[in-house]
Amino acid sequence: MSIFFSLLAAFFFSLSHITIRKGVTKLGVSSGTIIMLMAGTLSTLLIALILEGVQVLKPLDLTSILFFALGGVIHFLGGWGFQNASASRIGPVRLSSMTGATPLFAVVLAFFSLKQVVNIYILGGIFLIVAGILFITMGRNDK
Amino acid sequence: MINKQEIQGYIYGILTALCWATSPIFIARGLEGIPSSIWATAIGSSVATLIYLVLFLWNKKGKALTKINKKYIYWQIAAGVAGGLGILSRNIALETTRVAIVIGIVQLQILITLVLGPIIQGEADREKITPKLILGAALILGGTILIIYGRNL
Repeated sequence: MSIFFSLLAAFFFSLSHITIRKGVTKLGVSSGTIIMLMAGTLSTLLIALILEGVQVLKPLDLTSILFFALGGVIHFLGGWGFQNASASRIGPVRLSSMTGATPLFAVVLAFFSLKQVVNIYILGGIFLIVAGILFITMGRNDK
Repeated sequence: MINKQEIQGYIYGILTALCWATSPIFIARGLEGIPSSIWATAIGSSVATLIYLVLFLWNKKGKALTKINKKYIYWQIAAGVAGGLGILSRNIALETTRVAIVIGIVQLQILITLVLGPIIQGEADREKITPKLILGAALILGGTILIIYGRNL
């Protein structure tokens, strides 16, 4: 099931990237971002309330809630903030080649913080993916 | 010669990748205490939205929202819902497998965007098929298959 949900995540992220281009170019980055964040938050809150209710959160584990909050802030405010700052300086194509390294960072960070070890197949797969992203970015840069 | 602005751009690019790699680590840590990826997503995005909303209103940008064309709002809402569902799916996957596997497979989004972009956006979004594009797509696909094959070995 984890593979199915990882592929589903890739599909939804892709759908999000495509629809952003339709909206944000006309709305501006700040207005576009706040609408997007609110829509994403409301939909996930609704899903959480309908499917699990609030009883899942009892007993209240504040450390876990803090980790969830940090995860969200780092992804949305940190990631998106740096993404905009980078794209305005070097353009989206060169930015893509930098963000393509995300899985490599994830391997190192997961090893040191969660003691998660990957085998040679997974590591090889990640290197192939990073190389693939680099090739696609180089192809776009040639235009 | 690379200028100061470009160096900053590259540093911010690396920081973007670092943030996107760090976020699932925090989610995975949180899931050890509360095993609910749905609430992990809801809490994470709620806190981020609240902070962004405060900054947005603080910078007096609220007025801009009243002037925007409603036609484009629907696309932005769709992007937000899809983004939220994307993070939700990623967090559900994180509950049962390693961070590196999930983040690796999620990169398939680049290929999906290449295929879906022209279908949703029209011909203007079609990428020119070049040898580098084909090679890149093959490498991403090969890498994803290798991760899926090797995850239980």
